[in-house]
Amino acid sequence: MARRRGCFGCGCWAMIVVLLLLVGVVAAFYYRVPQRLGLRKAQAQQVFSGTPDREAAAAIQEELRKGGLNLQGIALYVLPLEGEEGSVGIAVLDSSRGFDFMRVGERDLVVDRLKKLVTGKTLEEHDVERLAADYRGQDGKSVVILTAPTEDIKRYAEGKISDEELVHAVKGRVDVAALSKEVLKWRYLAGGESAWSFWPWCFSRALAAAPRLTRRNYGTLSGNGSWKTCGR
Amino acid sequence: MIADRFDPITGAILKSGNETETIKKADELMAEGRSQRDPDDMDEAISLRPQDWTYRVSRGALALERGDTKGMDEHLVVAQALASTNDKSKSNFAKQAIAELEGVKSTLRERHGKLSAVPTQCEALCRRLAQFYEMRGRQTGNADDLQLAKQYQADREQCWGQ
Repeated sequence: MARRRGCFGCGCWAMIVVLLLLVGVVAAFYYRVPQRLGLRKAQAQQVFSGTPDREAAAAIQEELRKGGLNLQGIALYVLPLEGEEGSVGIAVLDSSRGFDFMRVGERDLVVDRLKKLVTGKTLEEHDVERLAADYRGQDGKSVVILTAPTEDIKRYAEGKISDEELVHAVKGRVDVAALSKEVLKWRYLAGGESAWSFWPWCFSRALAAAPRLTRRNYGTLSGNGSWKTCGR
Repeated sequence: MIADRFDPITGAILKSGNETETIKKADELMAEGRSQRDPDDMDEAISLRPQDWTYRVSRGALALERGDTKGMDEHLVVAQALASTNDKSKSNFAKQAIAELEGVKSTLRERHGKLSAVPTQCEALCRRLAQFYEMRGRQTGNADDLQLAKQYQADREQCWGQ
């Protein structure tokens, strides 16, 4: 009887081909090849493919503008969720288009106007269920994006939940390298004395809070106590 | 891959950067197309965001303005289907369609003196305006809109000099 050769009773070449195919399939999904080839829509494209609620975005912007805030470099999108009830309000704070934290308004004014917005009727009337802020650097790329349910932000503004409870509701994504550069820049600009000097500390804390750093220098944020110092 | 750790909505928000950029680019193209009456800019905006019914309404109105009544119908049918997902969209659809088609009416009058000089466009315009005024009238209960719908129905006959 001839002795069987190869790996696990079949040819080694066959095993290698099968393994390579498996690795290829896993890599294709990991690197999002179907999305890149347009064979499958990206997650955000699936959820936000509908028509933006421009009426709601204009109403929110108008309310903030009337409140005395400078919205230069801020684009607001109210995007209905495909196949779900409600919308998401996303504010893009874009440095490459003239956004500057220090030009929005005095800190107390900003806090007051945002508080009025989340506790007022506008967001409710337009069914905005989640809010998000996407800060972009001078190159127009996202540095940090944070999101939380509108209801949690409202309850926080009304003093009904604590810092920690809000922080648990906040989810985010950070480009750690870009954030480090921004923090250094703000430290320099703020000079440690400005009313806005809490921003560098806030984002330093955000950096410290990033519990899971992954490839390409991105980190995810799901809150912990480190966020307590932000804006307080 | 990062955002996959969250629920689908949160994941989509955290990866919404490309989507908001695409909306911005498409909006800019559409704004240019509307002001310059340029179909190419509008078509490019539509190709970037094919589900946005507001673009289709504008493109349909421009098609009519350029004498392409079939093109108008195609764009408005798609727009209406996309806008039928909720009451707010339905209402905004009728509002935008009326505003844009009334704009086309003014343009055609400026160009030709009277609408009956371009009977095919006139008929298509009055037919659609009658439809959308009736739609809005039913949505809001506004009697004036329902009256205008009847008026445009009657005007359709006059497009052919009858």
